[in-house]
Amino acid sequence: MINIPGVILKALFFIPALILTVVSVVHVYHAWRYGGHSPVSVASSFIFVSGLVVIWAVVWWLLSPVDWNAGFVWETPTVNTTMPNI
Amino acid sequence: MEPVPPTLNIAPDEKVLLLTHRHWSAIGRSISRGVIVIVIPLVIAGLMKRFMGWDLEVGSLGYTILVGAGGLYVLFLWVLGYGFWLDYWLDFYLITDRRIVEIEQAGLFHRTVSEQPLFRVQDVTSEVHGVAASTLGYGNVYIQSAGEKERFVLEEIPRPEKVARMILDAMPKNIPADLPPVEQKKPPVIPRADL
Repeated sequence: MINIPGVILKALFFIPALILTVVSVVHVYHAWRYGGHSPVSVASSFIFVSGLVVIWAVVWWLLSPVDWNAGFVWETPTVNTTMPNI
Repeated sequence: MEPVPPTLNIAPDEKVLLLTHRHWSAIGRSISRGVIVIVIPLVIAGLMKRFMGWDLEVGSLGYTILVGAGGLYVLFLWVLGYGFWLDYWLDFYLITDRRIVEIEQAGLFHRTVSEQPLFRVQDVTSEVHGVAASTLGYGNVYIQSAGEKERFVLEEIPRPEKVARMILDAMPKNIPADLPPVEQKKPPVIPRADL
């Protein structure tokens, strides 16, 4: 049986997600700097940012019932060593 | 025609003939691959739930890992997909009555801008190769020039034959009268051995 603190699992998910979000901001900056303000650039940036918000919202909602403070228990598989009565 | 980005510094008396991106099939291939990559895990999860009775209690370790990892996966694919879109949209070719500009966004922090005056263009060739290209009407235009970059390639652009014609029609008006003569290099003289 292994106890996994909730904060570690939280960090494992949220740190990469934050890094990806920062990369997204850089993407949008490039789109605005080099793509100009053409309707397609504006629309694609809007769709992208909306998708980011939706993904974050859905994952946040799905993870809201999780009690991070209680931690998690990983039951390691055990082998039954008792001999059966033959 | 979409507006020209201000970074290209178009002169007030310069006429823009064409601003084009690669054909939509270039981004269509990336999108179709992305859709497959997203759909396959969902199908597998659905099949496991249906036939193996695979179920997870809300708030359990398995549920948390599945939602967290799944969310990261979808987020990664979404950002990657937008990167593909930007790579397609920020690559474009501009043809004016004076120059040809090729802009290539090779990566997030790698952007190449090549310009070629029209009077340096020596040869223009259009090519449509393959079933998809012939059906959808896209191909390459090869521009041979006397500049530092000897060959410009406009890759996967719509109606390449019309674009080649447009460049050829724009060329004669742009030969300046004071263009310096091209130096003719004489071949080296190899002395013959007396036999």
